Amino acid sequence: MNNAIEVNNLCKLYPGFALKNISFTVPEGVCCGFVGTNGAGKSTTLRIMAGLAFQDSGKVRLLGRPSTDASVREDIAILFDQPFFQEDWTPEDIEKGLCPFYPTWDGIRYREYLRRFGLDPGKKFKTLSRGMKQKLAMAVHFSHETKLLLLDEPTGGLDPATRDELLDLFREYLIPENRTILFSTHITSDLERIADKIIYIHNGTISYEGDKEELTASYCMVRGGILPGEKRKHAIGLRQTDNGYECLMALDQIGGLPADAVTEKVSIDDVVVYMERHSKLNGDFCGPVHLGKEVSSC
Amino acid sequence: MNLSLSLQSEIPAYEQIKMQIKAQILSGELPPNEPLTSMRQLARDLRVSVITTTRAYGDLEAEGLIYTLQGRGSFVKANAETVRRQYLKSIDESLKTAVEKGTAAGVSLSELQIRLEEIYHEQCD
Repeated sequence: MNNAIEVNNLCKLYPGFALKNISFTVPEGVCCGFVGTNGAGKSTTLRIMAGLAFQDSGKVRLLGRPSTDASVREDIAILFDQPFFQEDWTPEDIEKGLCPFYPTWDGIRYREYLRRFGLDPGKKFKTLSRGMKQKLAMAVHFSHETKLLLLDEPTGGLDPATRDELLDLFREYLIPENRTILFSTHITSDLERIADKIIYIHNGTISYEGDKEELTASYCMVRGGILPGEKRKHAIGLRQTDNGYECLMALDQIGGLPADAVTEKVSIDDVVVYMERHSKLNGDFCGPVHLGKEVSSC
Repeated sequence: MNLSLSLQSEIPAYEQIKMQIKAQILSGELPPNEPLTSMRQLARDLRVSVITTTRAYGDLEAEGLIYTLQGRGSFVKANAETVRRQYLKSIDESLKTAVEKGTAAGVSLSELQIRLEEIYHEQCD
C-alpha cells in the first residue's frame, strides 16, 4: 500500500517548544487520529504539512510528492479550527476566488452542498456561525477532487449536534477508496468511531504509532480498595484516595491484583488522560512505547 | 443488508458485523452473488472505522462465505454446499455436548442412539 503521508525526522525549534525528530507514515485510504495534549506539537506538525510553517530539518512527503510541490496543494483539503476565507466574502465570492486554482472544480456540486447545508450563497463569511463556517469549508473541499484531508481541531468549540454532523461529513469524505484523513484533535471521543490508526505525540516526540484497536486493547482501567505495593510500579496515573484507587494498567500486568479489583475497557481518552497524568505526577512519561514501533528522539 | 450494532456489547463491532452478515448468508436472505455494500460505504453507514468493516469482510472471505473482486466490491459466495457444511459443523458441536453429558451421567452409546432416534421421529414425523 502507498503512503499518503510520510514524515521523516522532522525538527522545528520554537522558543520553549521543540518538535524533536518526528517520523511517521499514514497509508493511503486510512483515517488516522493524531492525539496529544495542547502544545504537544500536533498543530506545528500539521502547519508544516499544510505549508503554513517551515521545518528546521526533516522531510514531509504527501501523496508521494514533497509537501512543497505546488501540485500537491490541489490534491489536499485543509480544515483547521477556523477556515481561512476573506471575512467579507460570500460563498459566491469564495467560488469565484478559488475555482481558478482547482482544475477539477465542480460548481454544480458546490451549489448542491450549499443547499444541503442551508448556506445562503450571498451571505458574508464573517456573519456565519462557527459550525456554518466549517460546513462551508467542507462544501468547498467536496467540490473538487482531493485525496488527503488534513484536520486540526476541526470540531473545537462546536456543539455536540454540529460536531456530529461534521464527523458524518468526514465519513462521507472517506467513502472513495483512495482518500486519507489525518485528524488532529484533543476531543478524542471524536476518533473512537472513525479512526483506524492513532499517532500519539507527547512533548514533541511520537510516543505511539499504530492500530487504534491495539492501543485500547492493550490497557484497562483498574479500580479497587488498596493497590498492593508490588503492583504500584505498573499503575499508570494512579489516583489514590482514602476510599480506593483508580489507575490505567497494561493488560499483561493485571495478573495478581486483589480479588476486589475491577477492570474495565478503556477509550483513547483514558489512555491519553492517564499517561499525561502519570507524566505530571512522576516526571517520567511511560507512553505506549512497547506497542507499535519504537521511536527514537534526537 | 440490515445490521444492528450494539456499542455497549462486549462483542467487538467487527465480530457483530461478521456474525450478522453470516447469518443472513446462511439463511438465504443474502443470495449467492448478491453484491455487499462496499467496506467504506458500510463504515460510513454504521459509523465505525474502515478497519472494522475491512476485518469483518476479511474474516467472511477467509471462511469462504464471500469473495472480493478488485475494484468491483464483495459478493456472497455461499452455495448449498457451504451452507450444509456450516450446519454439519454446528450439528457436530451439539452432538459432542450430548455425548459429554451422556458420559458424565453414565448413559451408553446405544441408549444415546435410541434417544436420538426418538427425538428425530418426534420432530420430523
